[in-house]
Amino acid sequence: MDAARLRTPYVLLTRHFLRAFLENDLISPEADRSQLLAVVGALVISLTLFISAAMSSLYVGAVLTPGQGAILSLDDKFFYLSLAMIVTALVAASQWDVLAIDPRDAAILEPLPVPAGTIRRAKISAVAIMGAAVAIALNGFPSFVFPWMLVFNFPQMRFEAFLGLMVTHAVYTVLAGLFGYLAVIALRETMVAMLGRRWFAIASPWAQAALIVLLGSSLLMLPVAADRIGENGFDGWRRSSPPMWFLGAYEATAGDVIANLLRPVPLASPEVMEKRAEADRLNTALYDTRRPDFPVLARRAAAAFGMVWLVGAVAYLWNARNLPALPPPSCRRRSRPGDWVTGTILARDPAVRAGFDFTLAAMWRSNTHRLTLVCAAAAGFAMAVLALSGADTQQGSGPSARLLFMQPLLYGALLVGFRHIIRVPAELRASWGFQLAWRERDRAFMAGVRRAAITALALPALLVLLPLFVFVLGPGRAVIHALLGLAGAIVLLEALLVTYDKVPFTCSYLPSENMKALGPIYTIAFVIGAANFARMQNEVLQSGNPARLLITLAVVFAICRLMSLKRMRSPYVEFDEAPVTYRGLGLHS
Amino acid sequence: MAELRANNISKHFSGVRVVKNVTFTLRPGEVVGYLGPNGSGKTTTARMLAGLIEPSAGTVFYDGRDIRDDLVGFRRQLGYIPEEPYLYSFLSGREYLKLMGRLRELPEALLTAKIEGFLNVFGLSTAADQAIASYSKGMRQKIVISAALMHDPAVVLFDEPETGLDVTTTLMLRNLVRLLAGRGKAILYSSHILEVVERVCDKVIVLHKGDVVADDSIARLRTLMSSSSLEGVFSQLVIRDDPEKLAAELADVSAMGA
Repeated sequence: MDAARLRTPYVLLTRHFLRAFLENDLISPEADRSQLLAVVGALVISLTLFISAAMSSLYVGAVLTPGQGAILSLDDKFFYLSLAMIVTALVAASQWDVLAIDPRDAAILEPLPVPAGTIRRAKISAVAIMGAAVAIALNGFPSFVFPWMLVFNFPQMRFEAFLGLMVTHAVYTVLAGLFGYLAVIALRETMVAMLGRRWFAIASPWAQAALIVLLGSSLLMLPVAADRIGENGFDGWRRSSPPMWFLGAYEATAGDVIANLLRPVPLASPEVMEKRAEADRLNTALYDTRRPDFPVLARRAAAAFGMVWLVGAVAYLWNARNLPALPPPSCRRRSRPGDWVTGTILARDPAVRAGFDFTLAAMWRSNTHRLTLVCAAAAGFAMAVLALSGADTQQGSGPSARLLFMQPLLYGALLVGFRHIIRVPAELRASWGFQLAWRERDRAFMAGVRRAAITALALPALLVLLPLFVFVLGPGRAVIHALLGLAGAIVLLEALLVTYDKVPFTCSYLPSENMKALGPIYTIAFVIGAANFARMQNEVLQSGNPARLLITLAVVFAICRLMSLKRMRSPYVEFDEAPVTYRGLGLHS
Repeated sequence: MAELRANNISKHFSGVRVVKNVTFTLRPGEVVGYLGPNGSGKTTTARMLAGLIEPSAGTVFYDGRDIRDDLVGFRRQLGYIPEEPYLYSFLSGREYLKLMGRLRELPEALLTAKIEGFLNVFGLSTAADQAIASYSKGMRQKIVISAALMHDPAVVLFDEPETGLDVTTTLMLRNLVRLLAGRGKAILYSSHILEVVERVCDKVIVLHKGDVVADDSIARLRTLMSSSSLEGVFSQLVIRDDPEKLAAELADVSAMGA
């Protein structure tokens, strides 16, 4: 392409919109683009390479028969298809606000002598390039590694058949990725078309948060869901699951490549060969019983892909017929139902109230903070669902440690997420107001922050789970469990804040130098702690005597509070602290 | 009321000195104009006086004590209106003022009354519950001025406060500065607008490339520099290039290729 064509408004705008995907508040405010691309690229390549090599090692290490290979590979194919679908959908959900022309972009670009049609085409191209790039980047290496390792111990495989398998894997995983991406666009654009821009602006953050929780939880539960696909078959929830439809299409296209392979002449001892032949017969028979499902699922995949594409395209074009205008600011007074409760019960002292209100505002209204909490909620839900999967949930079946494990996992994940977000400034340049008004009443302010975290994160988590516990444990035990959970949440938050001596949401962010090493240890400690707390709660609910648990919690709380109070504090809070290395080099004046 | 004194303060960033050995005193009831072209160090001086950045050398005294000895106590007496009104864009104007008032521990009833008063005077009542993100620069500046005056400070630092304000508010601000001085507040008024400084200030400090090049009353400066206006004084002290020649060069650049 010559230089003049690269400078047309269409090309320039497409580039501008592509950059907007990388340079938004959510992902990388003020970050270096090349560095970010290099990090993301390296992460995608190394992760996908590692996952595909680790998952496929089974096919290299063990001598499998074609029947076994056909059945076992269903799990991995389902995993890759789901991974592609969920991750691209997550990327689209994280870019939710810039998937269509942003009113701010329209306000800036509309006065320029560029036709509105060019702006629209550029945006559509950028969105399409982004989706295709993510889907291809995610599935590039696995499309080579997985088929290669799958056929590693099948020397009878012809090269053309192997190439066909590779192409099939690449095509269907990329299509599954595009399906996830298009589904999010279709959802967003349908919401805009049905609700109108004003109502969409109100519903949008909630829809985005719900979507990220759903997708994040699905991603974390994927290893469990992708187990024994062949044995479990394609009925129930599996038949309604989009990755299963694409698996059906995959198998309808290339399933025969493994299942119909020539069985080699026996080289091992007769007994071993007899066992292998038996395993092959059983697995091949099982695979054959699944064969009729594949065309049905494939048709569903085609219909769903077509439907999502059509709905997304029609709604997108309908919404894009006019460039969006900035919505008139609402003059509605923001009022919370609990305003009176806050002022009279939760936070009467001005500094406590300041901490309470500012925390609520920062964690829900700042994109970065909200996204982090949503991710924490997704992780919490996924862990809770995994705990639930092995628990007895019959009505009135009574408590079990596994069931009770759900609660600390959910609120624990949220509070850990909260501990992270308070270190990130809501808007660093606005912190000067805090500095001037700060009265060193950090304890009172932190009391407000703690109350906000308990009110807005721990309590809703407990309430979300309460109906399930009422069903399984009965109302009395469920309420005791919730109250013990509340006490546990208060203690956990106290423990998490022991080492925190800044003003939440206002001070410059200093990354933890040793988090890569300590992160896994903290995670393991958290899971062990939550499991022990669930076991202790189980004992309380079985015996009806909470004294021992309450005393333990009170002692831990007191120790944490004492440690917090005894920590050496600087005479005044340093709002704009530079990292140690910067200070050492004298780069921070 | 106590006085604020900058004693030989300097500031350098990464080896570049932006303010050099500045010394002056702000006395109660006095309005001191702080003048200088872009990049002369006005904002840096104001931030050092507010205790937001530490001087590389020298000390700021309030009531005879280094402000660093009791920053919180000093800031109880300080109101600061910065040039760039950076505020939390996700809060509404009312929420921001409440946050600042609560951090300053004003009683709730008094705080509510003051906020309503400021919002009414500045004509912000209808926009008070909109997110600050939707505010114009002038509206943000009004919120900043309200937050700075909310606790009735003894020292007020205005750093180019007219930026973005409409004509009515600018005129009101000029009167406000005089009124505050009349009530015994010590005021530093940094501005580009010479006419405003000439009208509201008792004395001026002129800064050029970080150096104080003049520090006297306006009348004395006029006499000394044999000029009839502050603009003439400023031109002689600070402006090294011929503005007419610069304007012609700009017009030529603009017309290139036409």
